[in-house]
Amino acid sequence: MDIVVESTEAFKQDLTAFSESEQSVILEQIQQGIPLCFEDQTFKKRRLHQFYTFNLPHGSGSSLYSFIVNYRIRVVLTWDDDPIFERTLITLFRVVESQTIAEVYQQVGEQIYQPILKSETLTLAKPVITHDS
Amino acid sequence: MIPENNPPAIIDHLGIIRQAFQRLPDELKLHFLAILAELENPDCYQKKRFPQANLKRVLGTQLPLYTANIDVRGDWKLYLYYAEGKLYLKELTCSQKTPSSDSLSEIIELNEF
Repeated sequence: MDIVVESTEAFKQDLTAFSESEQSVILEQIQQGIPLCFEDQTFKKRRLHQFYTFNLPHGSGSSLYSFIVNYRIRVVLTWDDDPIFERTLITLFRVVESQTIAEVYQQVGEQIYQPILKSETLTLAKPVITHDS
Repeated sequence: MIPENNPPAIIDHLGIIRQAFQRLPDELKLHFLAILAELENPDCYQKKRFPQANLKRVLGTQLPLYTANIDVRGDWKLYLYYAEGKLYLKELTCSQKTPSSDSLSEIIELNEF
């Protein structure tokens, strides 16, 4: 199954706020870290976290994650298995400083789930993880 | 992986087809049937192309949830999900797109198709 990584304009815009060396680290960590998440479940659990449980319709859980680049930088992404197109789709939404990740994570979730939630109110549970370096 | 020449069976346990014929404008009913035919066409799965349905994975859901556009503008959508080799029809929705000018409008678009 192919791994397809796509990035949004917001992600590209965020990237420009970091120095060239930081940008290199971010892209390198994504290029190396995403495939490693497939191979090593321990690595995946260390690097990918969910801050909230979004109560989604259609009986689905959320596949929105925060990916740890390093102690200071996080990437907000979705990780979607796509059996019809035989791929796993990774979509990079934002890259931010770790102190703003909870807020940005919630913001991205509310935005991407808006169409499928329709008029239903997005309900957020308590954070499901507390790990942060 | 979906076997070649063996597309997933379509399961309509919620009566979505019946609902579609009650709710859809007359001019879209035939197109709805064409979309169902496309979802049963092995060729589309082999080529991974669904030109009429514009089938797309909904981002951010653990359940492999998809949308198929029933009209060209994408106001009418069919939600369906894939599980255990079958395609389950889930919901028919009609929405009006509203322009958005904030910095996250692109994110919304990604799931609005």
